[in-house]
Amino acid sequence: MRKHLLSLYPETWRDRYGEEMSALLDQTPLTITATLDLLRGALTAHVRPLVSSAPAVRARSTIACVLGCFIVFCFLGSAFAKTTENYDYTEHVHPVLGVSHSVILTAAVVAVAALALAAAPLVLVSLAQAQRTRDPTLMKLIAVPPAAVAVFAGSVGLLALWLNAHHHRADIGGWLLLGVCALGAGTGGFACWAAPRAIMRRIEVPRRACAFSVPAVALVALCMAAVALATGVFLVGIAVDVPRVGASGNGPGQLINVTTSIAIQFIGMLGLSAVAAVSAARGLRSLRSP
Amino acid sequence: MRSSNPSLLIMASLAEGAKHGYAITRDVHAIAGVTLGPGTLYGAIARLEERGLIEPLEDDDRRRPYRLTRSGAAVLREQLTEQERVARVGLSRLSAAEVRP
Repeated sequence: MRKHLLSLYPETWRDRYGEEMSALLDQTPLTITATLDLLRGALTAHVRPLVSSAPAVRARSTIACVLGCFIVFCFLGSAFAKTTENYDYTEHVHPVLGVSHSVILTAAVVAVAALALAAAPLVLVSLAQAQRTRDPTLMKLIAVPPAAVAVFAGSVGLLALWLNAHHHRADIGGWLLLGVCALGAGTGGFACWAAPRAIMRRIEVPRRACAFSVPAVALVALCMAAVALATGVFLVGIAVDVPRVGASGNGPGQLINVTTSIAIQFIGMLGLSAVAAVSAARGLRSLRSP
Repeated sequence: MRSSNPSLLIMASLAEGAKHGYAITRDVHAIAGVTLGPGTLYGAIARLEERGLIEPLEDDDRRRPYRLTRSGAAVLREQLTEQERVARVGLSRLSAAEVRP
């Protein structure tokens, strides 16, 4: 339990204070108050990272943080795409919906392209290091991201198919299938974040690669913010322009309506893009330090 | 009302000499009646270290002792003097108010 709590702290923090914090925890009882205090401390450590951390380590933390936010963002984006797939949002019919929908699609495409750009130098560095060192763990880790992306995309695709097939009601088997798809998407999404993070910890990321990847993930964060804001505009547009559509049922089993569904997606997107933006700003600042 | 500024409590504890995390926690509890949680303790230690007010010494097993730096001692003296001045003024005003009918 103590180790798990300490693992919530950022890597730079654990490297510097982990051992002595662990020694302190061995000498004190782990009460509920102490547990909550550690959780609050871990949150604060993420919000206010150590100034003394090496720029490369801070850049690596930024890339991992924005990537994590982006993966969860993709879940919400997929839900948004599914929610809005059946209506006509062209600009000449509903201008607000049309423009915001176009902004969302454009920013999403730019974000994916920027993420690929950010990953490119890191992929090259990790492949070169794997070839040079013949490190078997690194080789295995490099194989994980493509498989994870396939599992993630496949599971999200299956989820979409499930929703189409069980539009109004589902039996127990249907709900079980939904659970399996969601589990696959969650596992794939987690591996999409964890494997690159583990790779980055094993390789020596040169400053030049950081100088390229960090601005690229900052662009990802910017696009996420653009998508979130456009989703907010879209939400207002749905509520004002087409309230009948907004009130119609949505989601598995039609448990909520379209407006509520998009509102949940909007709030999630806004929170994730805020975290990504703060992390990206820190990463960019770290590039300027000597 | 007890002092709840963890940084000040830690510096006041280290004014006596170098201590590691557990010793600081015990000392702070003894002098101020405040129990510093592990997250709060190391959050404050990290900020104090970054500001150069305390510094780590060589590891003692897994425990690392910290000591007050010269600038840390100056900051602690300044803060405690300020608190003492406020306390003195407050107490004298209270005494004056009690004398008045």
